[in-house]
Amino acid sequence: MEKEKHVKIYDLQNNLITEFYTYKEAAEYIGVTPATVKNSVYRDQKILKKYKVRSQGRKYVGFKNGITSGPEYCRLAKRRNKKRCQVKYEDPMLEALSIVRNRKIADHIVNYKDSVNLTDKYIIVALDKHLGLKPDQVTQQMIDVKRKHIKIIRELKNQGIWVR
Amino acid sequence: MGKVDVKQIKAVADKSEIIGDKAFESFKKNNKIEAGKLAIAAFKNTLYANSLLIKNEKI
Repeated sequence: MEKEKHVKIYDLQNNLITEFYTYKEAAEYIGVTPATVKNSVYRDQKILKKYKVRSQGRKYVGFKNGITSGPEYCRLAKRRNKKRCQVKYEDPMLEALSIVRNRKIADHIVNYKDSVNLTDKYIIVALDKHLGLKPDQVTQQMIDVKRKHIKIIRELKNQGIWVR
Repeated sequence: MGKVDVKQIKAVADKSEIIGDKAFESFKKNNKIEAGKLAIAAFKNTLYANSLLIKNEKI
């Protein structure tokens, strides 16, 4: 089976200049790094104010309102405060991996925000870790006390004093 | 856990919470490290005492 030349280089008036098999070849033609070319494809950016690069290897899943292009989806996602842009890979293995990675990143962001804001959810988990209390056993009073406890520990830590 | 002296532990929890609150406020006002350390110890005792009481109730 023949491979398609999926990396296509256009000028700013959308006229096709050349086609390549890989990002590396396209990067050598333009005179930049392969990462720059790849990023420009994903982010819909121009390279050196001369070229546009498009690839068929990466297709975006359509949005509810009939939006099919990636950049448009990203703009909408930003406006709606979504954390990630859903992308569909042709290879099923790659797609499965991307879903796992996106979930991990999203979980990490949520956990980080909770730890900064000291939300109830974060404190209930901390109480479970340190005292072995289940969520239904925790009272509001204990949450308030634990919040103060963590606040002081962090403030002292900022001053270079470690207290447990 | 059956032989826990509930009254004594409640007293400890209440007292240590009051001490912790006072120390916390003084730490906020004066930023004294000793007050902070005291507050941490007091809150730790409060939490531990409360957890003992809760576990004892369940058993």
